[in-house]
Amino acid sequence: MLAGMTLLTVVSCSNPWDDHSANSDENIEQTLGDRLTNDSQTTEFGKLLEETGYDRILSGSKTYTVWPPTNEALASVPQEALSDMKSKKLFVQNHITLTAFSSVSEQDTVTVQMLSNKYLEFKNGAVIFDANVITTDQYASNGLYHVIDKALVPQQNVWEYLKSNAGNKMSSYLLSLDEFNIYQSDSTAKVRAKSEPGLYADSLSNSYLKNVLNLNNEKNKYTFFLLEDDGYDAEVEKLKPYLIKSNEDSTTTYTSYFTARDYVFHKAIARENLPDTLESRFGVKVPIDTDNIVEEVHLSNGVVYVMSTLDVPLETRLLTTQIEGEDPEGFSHGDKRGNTYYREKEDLNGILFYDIMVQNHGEPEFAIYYNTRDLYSTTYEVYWRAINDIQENTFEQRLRFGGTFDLEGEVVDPIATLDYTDVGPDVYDEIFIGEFTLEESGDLDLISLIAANTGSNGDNTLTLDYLKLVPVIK
Amino acid sequence: MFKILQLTGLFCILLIGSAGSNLYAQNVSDSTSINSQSNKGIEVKGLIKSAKTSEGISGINISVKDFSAAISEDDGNFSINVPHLNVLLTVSGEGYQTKVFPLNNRESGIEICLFEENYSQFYQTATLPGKEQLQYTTPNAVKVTNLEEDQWGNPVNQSIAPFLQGRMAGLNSVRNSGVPGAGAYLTIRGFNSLYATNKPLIVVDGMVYDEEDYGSGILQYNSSSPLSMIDVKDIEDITVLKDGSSLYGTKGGNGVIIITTTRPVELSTKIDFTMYGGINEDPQQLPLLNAAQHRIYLSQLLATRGDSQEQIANMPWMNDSRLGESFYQYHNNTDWQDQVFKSSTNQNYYLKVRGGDDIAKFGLSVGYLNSEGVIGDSGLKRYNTRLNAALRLSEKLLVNTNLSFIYNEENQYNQGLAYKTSPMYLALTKSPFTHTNAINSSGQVSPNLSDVDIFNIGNPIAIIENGIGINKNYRFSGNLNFKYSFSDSFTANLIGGLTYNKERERFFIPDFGIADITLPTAIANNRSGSETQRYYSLFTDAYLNYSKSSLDYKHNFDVRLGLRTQTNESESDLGLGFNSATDDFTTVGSGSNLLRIVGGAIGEWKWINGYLSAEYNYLNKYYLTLNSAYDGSSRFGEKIGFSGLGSLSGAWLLSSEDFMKDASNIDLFKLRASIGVSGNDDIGNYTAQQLYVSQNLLGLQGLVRDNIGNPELKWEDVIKYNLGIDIALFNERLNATFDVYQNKTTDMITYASTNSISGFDYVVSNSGSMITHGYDFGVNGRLLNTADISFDLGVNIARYKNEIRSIPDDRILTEFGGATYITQEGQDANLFYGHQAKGVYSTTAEADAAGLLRRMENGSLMPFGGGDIIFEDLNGDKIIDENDRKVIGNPNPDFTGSFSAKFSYKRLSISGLFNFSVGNDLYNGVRRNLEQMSGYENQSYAVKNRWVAEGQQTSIPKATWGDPLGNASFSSRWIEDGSYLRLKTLVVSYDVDVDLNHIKYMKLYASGNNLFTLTDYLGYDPEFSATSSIFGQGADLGLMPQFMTIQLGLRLGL
Repeated sequence: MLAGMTLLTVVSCSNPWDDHSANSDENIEQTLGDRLTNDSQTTEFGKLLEETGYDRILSGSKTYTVWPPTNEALASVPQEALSDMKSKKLFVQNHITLTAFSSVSEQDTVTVQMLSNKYLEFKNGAVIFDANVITTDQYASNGLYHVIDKALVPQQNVWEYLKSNAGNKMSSYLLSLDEFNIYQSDSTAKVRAKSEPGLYADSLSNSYLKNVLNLNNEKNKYTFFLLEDDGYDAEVEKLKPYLIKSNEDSTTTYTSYFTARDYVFHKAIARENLPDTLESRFGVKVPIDTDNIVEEVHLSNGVVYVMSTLDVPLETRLLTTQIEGEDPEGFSHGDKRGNTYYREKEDLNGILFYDIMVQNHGEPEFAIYYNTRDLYSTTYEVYWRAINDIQENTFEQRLRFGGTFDLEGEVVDPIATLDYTDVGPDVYDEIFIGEFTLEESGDLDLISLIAANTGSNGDNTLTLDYLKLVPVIK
Repeated sequence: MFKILQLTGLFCILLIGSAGSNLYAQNVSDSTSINSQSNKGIEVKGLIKSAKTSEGISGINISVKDFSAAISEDDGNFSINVPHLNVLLTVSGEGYQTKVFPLNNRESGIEICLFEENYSQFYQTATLPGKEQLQYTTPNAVKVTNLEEDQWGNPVNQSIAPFLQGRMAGLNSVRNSGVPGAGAYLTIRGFNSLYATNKPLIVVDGMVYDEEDYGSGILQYNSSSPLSMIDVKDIEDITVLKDGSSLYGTKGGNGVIIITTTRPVELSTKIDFTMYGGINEDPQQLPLLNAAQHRIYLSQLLATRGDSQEQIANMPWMNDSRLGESFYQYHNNTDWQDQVFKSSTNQNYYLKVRGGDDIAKFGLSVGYLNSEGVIGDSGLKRYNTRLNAALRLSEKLLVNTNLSFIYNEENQYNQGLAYKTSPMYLALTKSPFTHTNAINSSGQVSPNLSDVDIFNIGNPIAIIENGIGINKNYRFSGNLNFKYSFSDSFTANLIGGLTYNKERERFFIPDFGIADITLPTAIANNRSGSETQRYYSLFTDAYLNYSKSSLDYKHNFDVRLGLRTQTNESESDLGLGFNSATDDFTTVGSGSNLLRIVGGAIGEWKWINGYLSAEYNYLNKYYLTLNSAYDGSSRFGEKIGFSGLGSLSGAWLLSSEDFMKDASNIDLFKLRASIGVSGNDDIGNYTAQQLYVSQNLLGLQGLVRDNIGNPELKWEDVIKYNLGIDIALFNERLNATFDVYQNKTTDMITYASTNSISGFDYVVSNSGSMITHGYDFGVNGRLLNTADISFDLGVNIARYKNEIRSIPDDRILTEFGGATYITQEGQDANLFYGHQAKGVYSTTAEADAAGLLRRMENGSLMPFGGGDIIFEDLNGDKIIDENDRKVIGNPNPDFTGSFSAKFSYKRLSISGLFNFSVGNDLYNGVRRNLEQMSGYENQSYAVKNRWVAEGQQTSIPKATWGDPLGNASFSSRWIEDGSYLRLKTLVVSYDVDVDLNHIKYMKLYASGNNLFTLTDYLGYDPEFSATSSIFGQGADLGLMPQFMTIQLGLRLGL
């Protein structure tokens, strides 16, 4: 009996889980790293993995998909793509992605973020970027791989292209914005970019990348027009009178910025799809003449068109500034919140508008303060839309541009003070108020909307839907 | 009405009592003839031998009941006068099993072999209602187990119900779980009812012993088992009535288990002291993914959720830079099962004193038991005491008392489907790369525990250390048994007893470390609850007994007439609290006033049972027993009167016939047959009545009708047929019993669905029927039998097969723990019902070719793809939906049974009990959670073989977030063969030869429990029962597995 029980004990040690979890499939026992180095089609790529240390990463505990090139494909890769360890690593990274991508997918095109941070398109499970998949869906314990017939050499992005083209005047200017701050806030952003490398660091490191578009971003696609030096200079010169600063250097720098900021657009637009006019993100309409394209460069995050000239007329270049009445910066008296109404109303045509109205505040010359940025050094025509829809009587109000506060809190040295203008009941039109001229371009920190000089309520009401400052071409 | 009944009952007793005294007067002449020990009759001669040594034994008592007696001489020879040559000689002697021997027309040359005590079951005394009867003479399927032999080596954590497992063919015991103090799902010969209980009636010392748990189970998936409170060492014997239980009327339908505790019979003082100590092994772990494998799994799974590569890469657990804020939090390799399970200890001290004098005899026992669980502080502490006394108040009046008090203190944790609070479930599913303790960004491990992790999975250690789950309960059970003897043949008995049971449960789930739950109006962070249960029962049994033999001792009668009453009250009150201010406030009262929930239940029911039993035998060869009962119950509908139930059984002792007298190898050959009707009154205390319940509608309270009352609701009838053979061969070296039976249930309680216009879902009525048939087989053989060595082998096999004959609706579909069961006419009740899985699509092309679609919950269709499960499309409509389900398994076993072996050499003995179950299917709900691959939970080791790429051949489908195609839905994937063979107990005992004045004997025990289990089942344990309903058997919800214990014990006789 004892012998019998011993036998049973031995038998009992065979755990039923051994059967249940048993696996005749060798592939699933090996890691991607092992499989790639052992696959006869990809031995060379396997060697590269070992050299760069990526065999260990591919043996780790994350799921990866690899598109290894065949040995032949790897042999035809240009030397410079594998010149040093850094480029070898980048090369390898450009074949590996996190998570599993099967050759069968519900979408015909899948955008895949490679470890190189480049985005490649995997189409129908058969093509990735410009390579064809030869062997699909080889699996391992931590992911799968598809063998391809052409190596995926990593490409530059737009910003990297500009960096490598520093001879160009426009690119060298853009690169100089690493140091120079167009706006004051850029400096803190650049400090942050250095101290906190991470999610937004690359977009903060340069005033152009921060304020216009982040050309370093692989996730988006961009169309960038790079002007050759002559064409670039012509455009800058044209704009200079409107961006006069205290000295010539500043004038040139800012003019260059306001010129270059209108030459980049979201999405990669193929040459054949280029429209005759593109609108920049600042609202400037840029006429495109494809005849002026000198070179077309396809990059990982978009396309760069090198242009001989790209002439943007001043009429479209100079932008009208609109200031919304309901976005004030401050008030002359801080205790009138009870009299201040941020209104959401319909005009006579039933169109919605938002405005501000300050009523029954009892203060003579009560003022609402506004400010605005990036004004040109030119004369501005001033329009407003001020709606007096709840009072029977007409009241008056006026505008004052510029000035600073003295010790008593009075505004002194204004650039211009316009005359009182009547605000009649139920006038919904935009009305011309007057003009003022700026000698220097830049921000205007104080624009005051001033009530009538009376304490009697009903006469000292203020109202404003918006102000419009239209630059006049010199 | 019941008052009146009781009065009439009492009146009847008085009436019959006076009639009895008349009878007594007539009997005087008979008794004198017996007392004279006349030399009338025939002298027979024979030899008493020891079966082991084959030598004659002296000093053995040989008697003929009510007639004569003799003592064997030095060489074992004896002679005795008998009234006729068909009498039974009763042979008894110290150290030997008392047996009866049929003369069978022999006058001389009689050889009677005596075995040691408790050897043959045919000479065991069954404690039948009101009397004791040798199994040899009973015409019913009765099995007796005497516990003397096994009780002292019984493992500490094994109460009676699990103890009985495998010891009696036909009594199936499935232990609820491995939680210390857990009871068992007990059935005799399968089941007889769908909605009423299938538990046999339990009678302890003549009194019905209530085995219900009246609580609502606030400690989830833990239940109380009052039966487990009785100390195995307090029990003398257990008798199981498989048929002929009609005497218990509408409570006997499922058979009866009769337990007799310590009998105070000793005149000299005997003291037994025992102490045990042992270790509980933590259960064998289920193989799971390790930290690295789990991360690979997660990174694949999240992609199927639609997370971008960047989102996945930015998950804190995907960051492999040590500089990262949470690197150390998510780069561990924690074996959570190892953290949660631990080995523990158990101990038990027990003292039993028996003694007394001619007037008063007593048996007193006290015990302390501490049985720790294998998780945290779980465990059971028990303090028990019992006083059984027999008082001879006068020559005629005897009083037996049985008083017991048991106090239990149990620490328990939620188990089963308590996904957020069961430490076992959390141990299986919590990610191995998390840590038990908080870790800061530089990798320093805090002594504080970690909170809920990023996957919203709690920390099992937080429950173990800071959670509370206490069940304190006690039961007083006592009865007085008066026996007045009018004469030797005529007695009156009155048993009066009461049971009082109280249970207090309390739990607290802390906020810290445990995931929140959502209540209808709030999010609950910490949770508390407390519940009190009370059960009170008054029981009486009054009966008259008259037994007589005819003048020539050929006709023997035994008649009994009695009346039982039982009055029961139960109550449970519970409160649940949520969101106390901090985890330091652990009571319900400190929870939010707005969220507190109170509730409870009450029950009150009465039972009265008049019964008559008449037994007759002729020449000790032909036996006939008639039992009948007449029951009333408060549970029956108002149009239902008393039930009349009865049974008739007969036996024929072929071996006592003349033609068998020379068949010397056949010691016993008995044929038995019985037919009877018993009842099952577990139809609900108030189901027959119309009820109103309070309901809240938009803040208005009101009363609404709760049910459709059924004034004709009655008990279920169980019609039982039994045919049996008892056989003893080769000088009783081989003893076997075989029974075939059929139980037909009619008037079975069913829940028929009603027209929705009625406003009710169902109506309860007696409108079903089913049949259960099968056989029990038990054989015991003594293979070696010498003076020093004996070796016994035994086998028990039982089988039942069930078939639904009629139910009101086409079929009944029930859900339990994620499994679906079907019950329909012509099939077994309670079969697993789901989709048939036939592997995994290797490629999307293969799946497209098959063209199967899955019906989503919103009605839309979704195609199966590569890596999805191939479900069988039964109706061929290419859509996999609920119409494609079929029977995929049967939780009922083909066979259950046991092997037992006992080997003795001089003072050493080794006994082992294997029990087995063959052919039962189990639903492995634990594995379903571990292989459904649809969420953050850690998965089983087999999941590493999951489908990941086109063309891969595997049996494990792909991981998809949320499992939209139902790859893990209830299907044949989760149905497993639950057959097992288990070495349930192995006891080695040694009787130390002591030569001391104060110590009479000293025995050493080494016992092992659950030493190994041979099974293909992939769960922790193939034996479990999460519910007392049949709808739910075989569903593995992840209850605490039974674990291995090894203990050493010492028993001293003082």
